[in-house]
Amino acid sequence: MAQPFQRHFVQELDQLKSTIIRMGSLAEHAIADALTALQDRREDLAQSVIESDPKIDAFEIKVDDAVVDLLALQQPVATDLRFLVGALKINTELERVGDHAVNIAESARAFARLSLLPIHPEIPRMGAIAHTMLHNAIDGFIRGDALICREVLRNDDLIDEMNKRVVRDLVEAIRKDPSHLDQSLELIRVSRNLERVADLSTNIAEEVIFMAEARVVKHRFQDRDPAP
Amino acid sequence: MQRHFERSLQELKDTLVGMGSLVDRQIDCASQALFEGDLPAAREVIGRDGIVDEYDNRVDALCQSMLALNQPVAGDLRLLMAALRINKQLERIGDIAVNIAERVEPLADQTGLIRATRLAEMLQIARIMVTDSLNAFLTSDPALARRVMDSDYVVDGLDRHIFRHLVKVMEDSPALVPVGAHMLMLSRHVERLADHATNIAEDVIFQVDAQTVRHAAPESGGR
Repeated sequence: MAQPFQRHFVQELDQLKSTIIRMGSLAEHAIADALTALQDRREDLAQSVIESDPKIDAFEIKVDDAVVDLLALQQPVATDLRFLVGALKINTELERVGDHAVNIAESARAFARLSLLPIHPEIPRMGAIAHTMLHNAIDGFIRGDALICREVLRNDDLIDEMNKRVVRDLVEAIRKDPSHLDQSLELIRVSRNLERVADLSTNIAEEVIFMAEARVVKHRFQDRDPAP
Repeated sequence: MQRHFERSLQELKDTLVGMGSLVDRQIDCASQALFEGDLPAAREVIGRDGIVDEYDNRVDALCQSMLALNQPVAGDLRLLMAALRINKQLERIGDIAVNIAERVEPLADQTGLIRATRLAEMLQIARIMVTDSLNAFLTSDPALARRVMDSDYVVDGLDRHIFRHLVKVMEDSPALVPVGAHMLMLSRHVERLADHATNIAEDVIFQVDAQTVRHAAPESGGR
């Protein structure tokens, strides 16, 4: 029979999950919008990404407070405890994704004001992969899906390679034609920020896998207990 | 005009040095207060944050006036933009010292538990990263900046270690969960200190890379 106390906890946990989902979707949108602002040379969109960041920061504080309250008042154990600790970590990573979106938006704004240098074709591709990684990591956390998180881990190497290639190409382009130095530096900055977003998504995915594996180990012990 | 710019640049650097040593002291005082459960010391840290904010405003104002008066280009412009970004990081580092100080009260009678984690080690590394990153900027030293970035992996590892340790403590004794929650936040504050230092270091490497590229292909109208 469910105690009112426990039911309350379940509700609070659900509420926390939906807060994290909303925060995650803000972070995802910020990255996507910053990239669109870069590609379409839209200063207004870049500006709105920069101005929206305090919203993500406010979510971070909200999630932190909710987790600390739940830990302090409910003293959860096992799976719930691990979920809450995981929520603390993911919260940090999402807030940082927001910071990287701001960095990309700042570069997009600077880039739009400079000349019409074409964007390195690898950057939109990197953006799409990093965005998917982020989406899958958040989704994996909410649903406790370690499988999708392993896929996130696999993509991280790919992004690292792409980042190296982009930086190398742009440095080479500057050597050949130094008149686009500042624009090229902005693109290098964007590439590095996307690489960091992929890293943060990887951190989230690793946390989910850790949580899932702890559960698997525990279940195995329980399975072994009753004699066949 | 150029000499005026150089003078302003020196003033800017001096201000950043002053700000850097203040936030370093803030971290040091906050950690000592934490390990000794010293509440008055923690309150002092919180009270001094206003001075960090004053530094922040001064650096911003200096950069803005240099941008407006001198309209710098190329290398000088990039340097000013970097100073603005570093200012933001230092201000946040100051905020984190306050965050640490704020945890002193709820953890005042748990100094034993705090010492049982590797938090002291992590704090020490993060603190060195902060001063190293600022020095790397002031002396344009990419090798030092790279060392800062390498240390970030160590701090991330320690953070993970502390998290795992605390989860185990909390699983074993549910009564320690509320305290554990504060400790988890602490570990994260320190991890973030290191992250801000890493941001500064990245900027330094970026600056130096830009210079290297520029020297390989001298830009027209550059210095």
